[in-house]
Amino acid sequence: MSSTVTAKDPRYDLLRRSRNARFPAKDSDAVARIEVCQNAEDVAEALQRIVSAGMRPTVRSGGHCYEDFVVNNPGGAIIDVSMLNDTETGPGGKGPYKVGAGGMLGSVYTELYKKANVTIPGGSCYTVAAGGHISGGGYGVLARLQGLSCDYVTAIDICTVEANGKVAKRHIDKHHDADLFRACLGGQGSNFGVITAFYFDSLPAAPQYMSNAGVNFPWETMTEEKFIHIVQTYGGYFEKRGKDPDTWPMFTFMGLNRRGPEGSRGGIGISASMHGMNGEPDLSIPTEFLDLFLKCGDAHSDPNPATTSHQVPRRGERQQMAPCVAGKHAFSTRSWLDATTGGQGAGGGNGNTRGKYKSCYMKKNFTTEEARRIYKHLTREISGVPVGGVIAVDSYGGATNKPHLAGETSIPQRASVMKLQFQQYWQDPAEDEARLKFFDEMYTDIYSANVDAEHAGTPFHNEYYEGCYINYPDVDMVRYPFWGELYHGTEGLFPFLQGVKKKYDPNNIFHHAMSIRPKA
Amino acid sequence: MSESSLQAKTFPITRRTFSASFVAAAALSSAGKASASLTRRSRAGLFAYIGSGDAETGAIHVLDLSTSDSRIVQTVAAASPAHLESHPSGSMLYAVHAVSEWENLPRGAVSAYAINAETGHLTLQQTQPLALSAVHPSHAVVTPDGSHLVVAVAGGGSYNVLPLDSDGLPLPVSGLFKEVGFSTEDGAGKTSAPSSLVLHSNGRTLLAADTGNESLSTFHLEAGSLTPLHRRRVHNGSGPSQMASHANSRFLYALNSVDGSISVHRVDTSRGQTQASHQRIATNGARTIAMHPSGGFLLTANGTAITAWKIDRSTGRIHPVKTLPAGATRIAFDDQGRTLLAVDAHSGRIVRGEFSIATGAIGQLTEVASLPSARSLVIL
Repeated sequence: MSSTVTAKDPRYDLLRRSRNARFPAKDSDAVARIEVCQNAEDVAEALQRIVSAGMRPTVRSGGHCYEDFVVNNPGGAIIDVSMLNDTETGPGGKGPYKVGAGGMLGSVYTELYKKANVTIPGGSCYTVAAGGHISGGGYGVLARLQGLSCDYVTAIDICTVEANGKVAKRHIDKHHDADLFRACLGGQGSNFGVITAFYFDSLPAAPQYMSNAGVNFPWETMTEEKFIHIVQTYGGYFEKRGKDPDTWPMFTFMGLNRRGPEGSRGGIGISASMHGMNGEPDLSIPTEFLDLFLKCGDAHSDPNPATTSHQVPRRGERQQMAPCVAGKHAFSTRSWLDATTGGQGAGGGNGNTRGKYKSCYMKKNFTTEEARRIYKHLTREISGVPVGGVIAVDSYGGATNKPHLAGETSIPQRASVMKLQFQQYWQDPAEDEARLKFFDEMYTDIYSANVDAEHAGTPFHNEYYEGCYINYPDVDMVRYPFWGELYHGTEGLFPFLQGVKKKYDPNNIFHHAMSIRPKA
Repeated sequence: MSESSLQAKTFPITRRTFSASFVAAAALSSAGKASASLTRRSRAGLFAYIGSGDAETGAIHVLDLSTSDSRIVQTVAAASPAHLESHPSGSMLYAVHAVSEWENLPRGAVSAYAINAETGHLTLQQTQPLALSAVHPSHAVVTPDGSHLVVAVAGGGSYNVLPLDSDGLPLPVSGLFKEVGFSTEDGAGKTSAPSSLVLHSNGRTLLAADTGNESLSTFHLEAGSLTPLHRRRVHNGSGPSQMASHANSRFLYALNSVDGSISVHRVDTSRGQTQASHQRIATNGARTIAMHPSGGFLLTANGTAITAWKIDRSTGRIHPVKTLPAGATRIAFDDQGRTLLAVDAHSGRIVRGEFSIATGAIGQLTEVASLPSARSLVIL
């Protein structure tokens, strides 16, 4: 039986909250109780009690939801599956593999590596848990090499609620409730029920090493022209050369930090991380990539670059960086497991930080006008509030871009070469309004450059964009009547998800601001 | 009075003589939040409030019934006003917005309008969104002490409870009950669609007609929360969509929209149950039902006729006594039960008549206005 945590319980104040300190926005938004479950039976029983009481259930695995979908549930109940965190293999480390919905990615990587020398190509934030991550697609540093986490799932355990309110435990795969199974591979399982476990018949081998190096361009010597040159150099690589399979083991990250006060760290940082499967990684690919930026002028070699947007910013004095030299980048090589799990993982919120996020899938390089608008917003002054933030430009494509997987999963974005995550963090609630306003204005302006009038303000699907990532949800987008297509594509996936919703959650028990809305 | 609301305004206590009763009820309220500033107002005239239109075209029209020409004196925009309900003080009107989105989120909303006692004019005071998934709300009632507004949500299959502050303004949803449907033989299942509410004069027993569940549900309302007590399946293929209740609350009349019947049920408030119907009558496709304030007559209407049914006060059984050739989709009475207003959403015709409490006859029927898509109606 689940452990029920109510307001009288000392755990309540912590467990009612999101990792994003913005939520719940007010005490009256908070849940009445949290049901901490330890197994699938606990989940079914707790869900039944909640539904029978006429309450609204929301579901939490790792607690990294960017918006308030879980903790804004006035008088309702959170089903916490974080303790369903077992990672199992078949005999001798062979498949099939089972990952509990509460398994934190860092633990899952470690267990799969040590038990079986395999991995899921999951995210770079290692306290994110499997339930929300995989059912929303599951994307990370290995995506170009190995695809998305959801691409490997072969079965799912999920509890749904029938029309008559009875909880049903389902084991779903391509042959059993195939429509629900597909929907849970990128369509977010919390739209349809409570996922308790994922199964994988096989998983890709874990890399042996990861080597990374970077270049940095300080704001002090930045010009608009130079900025455009940098971002177009980055984007141009992935529009063309990055499609070649020999580049897929390389993951890159470009951090477009907002210009801060004079002398502050930041600027434009670019890193290249190369995965080596057997022996030392071949560094010719990342070297070729980093060399491209020498043409932009004033490139500094960063011996310890941020390899993802989720790394904690380094404090203290700014590191001394030497000018870049062609063919000679300061690569550091570590074992893949250490590089993947060491000292990282607080990204996406630690409970004390307020955050806001937006996203974009890009099919092509940055246009000049698009880059110009990004530069404008990264450099413009915001009166009264020290608005920071970063646009994290991740390399994409490679193994993710297998067109047939769009029809087998619920991730329709299978043609993009870059994936952007707009991130902003702050502490003071008094800054909420100004920061959110700035962020919205910036995003709206940038995505009005290459988009038709009807869809202006969004990276709606066209020759440049493939919409947004549902695991980086942004409630600002619901003001657009086409937000469902923005996230779920224009090729029929959204109506499919609506049909699955109606079939498996006919009472719309599972809902939030951006859940699949039943057809009118 | 709204077409299916019982509330606590028991005949012959009229709205105009209700002040003392209301204040007493407020003082006895268990919630203890009843209005301090809203007292029963005397009204200079007689006004009808008619909601019409959808999310884009919706409006509330104020019809002055105090003059012989019964003219519309005000129209205010109001998205899809599916139901209009008044505060017991008579000084506030609530509109239930049956929309699929409010402020881009999947929910409906309710608005509160102050009523000018002299002119009948409405002034929007506040709009309060309902809970997420509470789409297409359909009906609402206010507790006799004026402390809470309970909303039936047909689209979302739920009930929302909103506290009312001392000025009668709705606060954010404090209580929610999410309903479920039932399984059908073909495995598809049907979902809940609460469509109509009646609040017993005790202020705590809530009766709900659920079209989707084909049931009459009973809830206990206390401190802004709903506790389910009982669910009565009416009959297969019934689809109860509206209710009317005898003033003494012993009987409940359900209009079953699927088969067009009226079913008569006893209400056992001590056990919080609605009993199985002891009378079921076909109505030739009635689209609305209304209780005369005297408790002596029930009125129904279809596309071509309004029928007055005489109620046997001891058994609750009904039989038709008068029929008038006038189609209607909503009927309302004034507090005295003498003036009747009927609107027809299809033709747009709004007719006014005089009701005979002695015979159930409707006389002096006059078309007073034309409002296409009229969907809700209350006379104050």
